[in-house]
Amino acid sequence: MKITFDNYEAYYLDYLEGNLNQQDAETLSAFLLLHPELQLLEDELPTLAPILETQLPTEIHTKIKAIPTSETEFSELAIGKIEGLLNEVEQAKLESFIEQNKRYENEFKLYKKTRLVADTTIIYPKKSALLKGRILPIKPIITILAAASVGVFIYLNLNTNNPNTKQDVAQVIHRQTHQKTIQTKHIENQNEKIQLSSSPTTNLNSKHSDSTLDFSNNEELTLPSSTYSNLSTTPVPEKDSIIQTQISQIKIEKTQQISNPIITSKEVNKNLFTSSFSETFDNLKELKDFFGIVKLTKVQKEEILAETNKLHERISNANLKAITLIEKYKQSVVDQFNAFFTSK
Amino acid sequence: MQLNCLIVKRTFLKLAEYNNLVEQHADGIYRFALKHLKNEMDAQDIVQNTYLKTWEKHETIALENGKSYLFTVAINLIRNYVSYEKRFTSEEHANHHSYNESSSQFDLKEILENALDQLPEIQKTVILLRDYEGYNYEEIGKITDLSESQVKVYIFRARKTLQGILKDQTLVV
Repeated sequence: MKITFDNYEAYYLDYLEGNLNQQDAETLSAFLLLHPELQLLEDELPTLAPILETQLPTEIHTKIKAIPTSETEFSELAIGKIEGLLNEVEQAKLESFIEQNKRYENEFKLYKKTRLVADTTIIYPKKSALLKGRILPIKPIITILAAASVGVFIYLNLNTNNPNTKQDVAQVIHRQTHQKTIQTKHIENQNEKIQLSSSPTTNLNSKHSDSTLDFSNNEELTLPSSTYSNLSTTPVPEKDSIIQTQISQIKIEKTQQISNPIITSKEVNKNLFTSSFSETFDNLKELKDFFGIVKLTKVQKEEILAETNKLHERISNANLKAITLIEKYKQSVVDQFNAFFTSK
Repeated sequence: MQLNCLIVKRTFLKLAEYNNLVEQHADGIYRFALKHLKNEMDAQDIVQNTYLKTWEKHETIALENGKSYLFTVAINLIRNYVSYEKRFTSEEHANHHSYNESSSQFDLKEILENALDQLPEIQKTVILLRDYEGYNYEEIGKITDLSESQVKVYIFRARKTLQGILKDQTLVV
């Protein structure tokens, strides 16, 4: 563009502000050379150029540059401060603006309050319903279920068989004791006849019918006191010490023979319950506590069903074996008593 | 270089991770929904449906995206719910409800709550995600399907609106 008397001032101002490009600056210089009366003296424009950018101290320069020019800029800076987006210069800009305009201090406080804080006392009340159950490995479940089933079966089997067993043993003991008492009475009667003693004897049969064995409450198998009393209170002649010794031995050995099998039976019970059955349920409980509610997939359910059928078969076989063992055990007890009384 | 070095193995949500998401974020989603819907039962439904949908897709959700996926689902459900409610709720009732709340409460926190209700849904969503959950702009953008600059603008506008409402309310008080 050509520089004329009408527009040279605008070019001059741009030049003084440093906004004129090289080409225009050269054009302006040429124009001023042609019209030297228009050129300003050096002391008339001494400080215009340095004020603009570079020669001010950094702090003052920053502050001058930092002052927001509008309310919108203040809002941007305030929100930027809350959001943590400002750099150092921008922060200084905001601070100086607030310092110079105290009414914006309150505005800035209100901006700070727009930061929302969650109320942590509000809690979703049905959280547990959202949780999904754990899927347990299938093999341990089957093993535990199998062990539990066998344990329950044996427990029930023993519980139903034990009283009968005890009752059977009691009947055998009762019968054998009765026979032995009769034998003893017979020996005594014979002695009476031989010695023609005048001392009276107690009728052993009178109280014998009351002697029964009670196994329902006590684990230890003991003979009723009446049975012993019938034996021990019989007025035995002093001379018949052999018979008295025999009776004492019978009492002692009988007690030992009777109690030993029961102790064995208790041990069996203990092993079955404490080591197998209760531990199994403890394990189940621990697993349940650890894993929560057990939920199985359809495939796993089918697998469990198949395994359960197999187990059912195995349990049936085990049942037969267990019954056979119990019968053998009962028979061995009866045989022991028979052998004992026969030997005596 | 072996091929397997280039393969990035992605881990998807499993049962344990899903349950962790329930433990850690169910309360947050509930509060988020409650802020939008102002009704406990509705907010509970939103939480329940959010987790239901998440569980249905859990095998396809990357582990690191679990939380943002939850909020994305929740926001969509809330939007659907709000648009449904707008169709069937009379405007008169809504205005009456708003008037009662704003006229009787002068506590700053409650003023802010009311001010929050006056924001457009999208602004409310982004500012809740920002302040309640601490998401950055990029994460909020992913959740809400907005660009980062859009998120920034919405947050700016939301804060400016909230500040204006607070200013007016405190002047009244």
